Amino acid sequence: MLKHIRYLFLILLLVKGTVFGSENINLSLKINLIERISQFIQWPDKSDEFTIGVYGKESIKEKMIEIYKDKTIHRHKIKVLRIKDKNDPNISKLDLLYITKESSSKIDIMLKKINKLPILLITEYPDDVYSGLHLGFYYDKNKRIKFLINQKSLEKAGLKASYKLLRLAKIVEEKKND
Amino acid sequence: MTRNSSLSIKTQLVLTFIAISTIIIAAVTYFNFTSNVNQEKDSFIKNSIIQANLLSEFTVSALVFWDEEGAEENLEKLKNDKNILRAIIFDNEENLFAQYNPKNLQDIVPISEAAVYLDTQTDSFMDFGVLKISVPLKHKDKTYGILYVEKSTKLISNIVKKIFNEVIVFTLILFAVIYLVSIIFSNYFLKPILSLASTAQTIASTQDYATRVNYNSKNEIGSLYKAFNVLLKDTENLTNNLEKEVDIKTNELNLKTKELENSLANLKHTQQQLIESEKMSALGNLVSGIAHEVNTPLGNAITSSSIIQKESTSLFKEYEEGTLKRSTLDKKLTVLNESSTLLVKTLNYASELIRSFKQISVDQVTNDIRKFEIKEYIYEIFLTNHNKLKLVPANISIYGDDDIYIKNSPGVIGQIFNNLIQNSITHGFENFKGNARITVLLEVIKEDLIIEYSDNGKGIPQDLIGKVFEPFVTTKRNAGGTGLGLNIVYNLVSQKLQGKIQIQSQEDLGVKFIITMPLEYRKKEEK
Repeated sequence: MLKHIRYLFLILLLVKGTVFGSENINLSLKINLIERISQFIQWPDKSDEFTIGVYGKESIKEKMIEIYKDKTIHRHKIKVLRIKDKNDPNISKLDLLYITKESSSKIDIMLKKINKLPILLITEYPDDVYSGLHLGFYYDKNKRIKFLINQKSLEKAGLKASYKLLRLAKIVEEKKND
Repeated sequence: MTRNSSLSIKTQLVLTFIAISTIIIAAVTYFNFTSNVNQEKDSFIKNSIIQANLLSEFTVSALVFWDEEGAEENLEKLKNDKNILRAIIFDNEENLFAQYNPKNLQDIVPISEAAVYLDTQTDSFMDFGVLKISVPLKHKDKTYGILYVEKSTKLISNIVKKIFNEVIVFTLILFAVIYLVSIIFSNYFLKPILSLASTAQTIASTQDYATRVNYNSKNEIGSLYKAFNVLLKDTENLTNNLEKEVDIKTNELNLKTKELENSLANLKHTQQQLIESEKMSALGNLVSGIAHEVNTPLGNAITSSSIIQKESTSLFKEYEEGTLKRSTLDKKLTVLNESSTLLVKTLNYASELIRSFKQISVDQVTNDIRKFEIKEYIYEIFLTNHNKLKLVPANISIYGDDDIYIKNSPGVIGQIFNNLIQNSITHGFENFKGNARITVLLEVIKEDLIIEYSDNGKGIPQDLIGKVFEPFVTTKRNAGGTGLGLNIVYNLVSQKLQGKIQIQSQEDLGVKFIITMPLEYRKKEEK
C-alpha cells in the first residue's frame, strides 16, 4: 500500500511540475502578448514612459521587468509597477493595468475609480471583460491562447484599438446586472 | 541622269505610299505595343504590390499574436486569385509561420525584407516569368516578419497576346485601307498623266502629230497638256518640213548613188580591161620574147642548112666532074656532119622553146586547173622571160624539190611570176650596178606550198610597203607604170590561188614576196 502511495506521490509531483512549468510558459506568453497588444492600442495622451501596473503577485511584476527590459511600447521605455490597492498613488501614472486571477475578486472597487481613465485594463480572468474590463485572455478548444475585448469599455476609457487587433479578438459587451 | 525602272509610275506611287505608311505604322505600332505592354506590366506589378501590402496589413496581427490559423485563413482568401502561385509568412527568425501553396511548390524561397522582381527563366516571347514580392509585416515601426508572394504573370501574357492580336488585325486592316486609298489617289492624280502618256505612245507609234490633247484645268497638269500640244504642233511643222527636206535629199542621194554605181561599174570594167590588157601585154611580151629566142636557133639552123646545102652541092658537082678527092670528101663529110648535128640541136632547142611558149600561153589564156610540177613550170616561166632578164643581166636560182606537184591554175602562177619578174626588172634592177639575182625558194609545210620570191635589187621604200598591193600605186607613173601589177598579184593569190601573200623589203637590200597557197585547189571554197 505504502508502495502504491509512493508511486502516486511521484506521479503527482511530475504532473505538478509539468503544470507549473506550463503556467510559467503561459505567463511569459501573456507578458509578451500584453506588450504586443499595447502596440495595437492608441492612447489619447502619452507621457515619456509607458507605465504598466500589476495588480497581483510581485513575481509577475518581476517577470515583466525581466521581459520588457529591452523593449519599448510606442517608442517609450516600459516601467512596471505593482499596484497594491485602489488608493495606490501610482494608479494615476498608469497606462496599463494587469489584473491577475487572484486580484480579480477585488476589481469591482478598483474599476469604479479607474474605468474612465485612459488605462488599458487587462485581466487574467476572462469573465471580468464582461464586467467592464477591457481585455482578457482565454484558451480556445485547441488550447491556444486567445483574447476577449470589450470595445465599448475601451472606447469609454478613451482608448482606441486597431482593426488588426479587433479582427483577431472576440468582441464582447458588458453584461447587465439583473 | 537616267533611271531604269520597269515598274509603272502608278505602281511606284502605290509602293512608295505603302512603304512610307509601313514605316510609320511599324514605328507607331511598335511604340504603342511596347507602351501597352509596359503599362500592363507596371499595372500588374503595382496591383500585385498593393495586393501584397493589403495582405500584409491583414496578416500582420495574426503573426504578432501567433495566430497561425488566422494567418492561414487570411492567406486562404488568395484562392480567388488564380495567379497566386504561393504566399508564405515568415517570422523574424525566418521560420515559416503560415503559407498558402495550392500548387505545392517546393523550391527555395529567396527571403528579403522588401523586393519586387520578375523572375524570368525563359526567353520566349510574351513570357514574363514569375513575379516575386517580399513585403515586411510591420505594425507602426516594428517589423514582425515577411510576407512572400509569388504570382504567375500569365495574366499579363494573355493581355499582351490579346493586344498583339488586336495590333496585328488593326495593322492588316490599316494596310488594306492604305492600299485602297493609295490606289484611289494614284488613279485620281495619275489619270491625266497616264492618259497623256498613252496618247504620247500612240503618237509615237502612229506618228500622227496632228493629234491634240484636252485637259480642263489650269494646274500643273493643265500646263503640261498645253506644253505637250505646243510640242506636237512644233513637231508637226518640223516633220512636214523634214519630210520635204528628206524627199529632196533622198532624190539627190538616189542620183548620187546611181552615179556612184555607174562609176563603180565603169571602174570595175576599167579594172577588168586593165587586167586583160596586162594579160595581153604579158602575152605580147611572151610572144616577142619567144620570137626573139626562137630567132637565134632558127638563124643557126638556116646557117647550118645553108652550109649543108652548099657543101652537098659542091660535093655533088666535084663527084660528077670526077674531081672529088678523098681528102676533100672527108673534109666535106665532116662539115656536113657538124652542120647537120648543129641543125638538129638548134631545131630541138627551137622546138623546146615553142612547146614552153605553147603551154604557158595556153595556161595564161585559159586559167584551167590541173596538176603540174611547180619547179619545172617556174623554170619555164623564167625561160620565157629570158630575153628581158638577160638585158639586166640577172642570175636566176630556183631551189626546192623537183617532185613538188600542185593542183591549181598554172596560168595564174605564170601571171603572178611574170608580174613579179617584171617588177624586179623595172623597179628592183633599174640602173642596178651589182650582180642582179633572183631567187625562188619552194617549200611544203603540211598542206601548203610556200613560195619565196626574192631579188637583191633596190627594194621598196618603207613608206610604200604598206600600200604596194593597193591599185594604182606606182613610182613609175610617168614612165608608163599602171600601178596595177602587184594589185593583180595580190588579187590572183588571194582569189584564184586561195592563198596569202606577204612582202618584206629593205631599201638597197631587195624585196621578198612570200606566197602561201594550198597544194590542192579547194573547189568548195571557190563557191
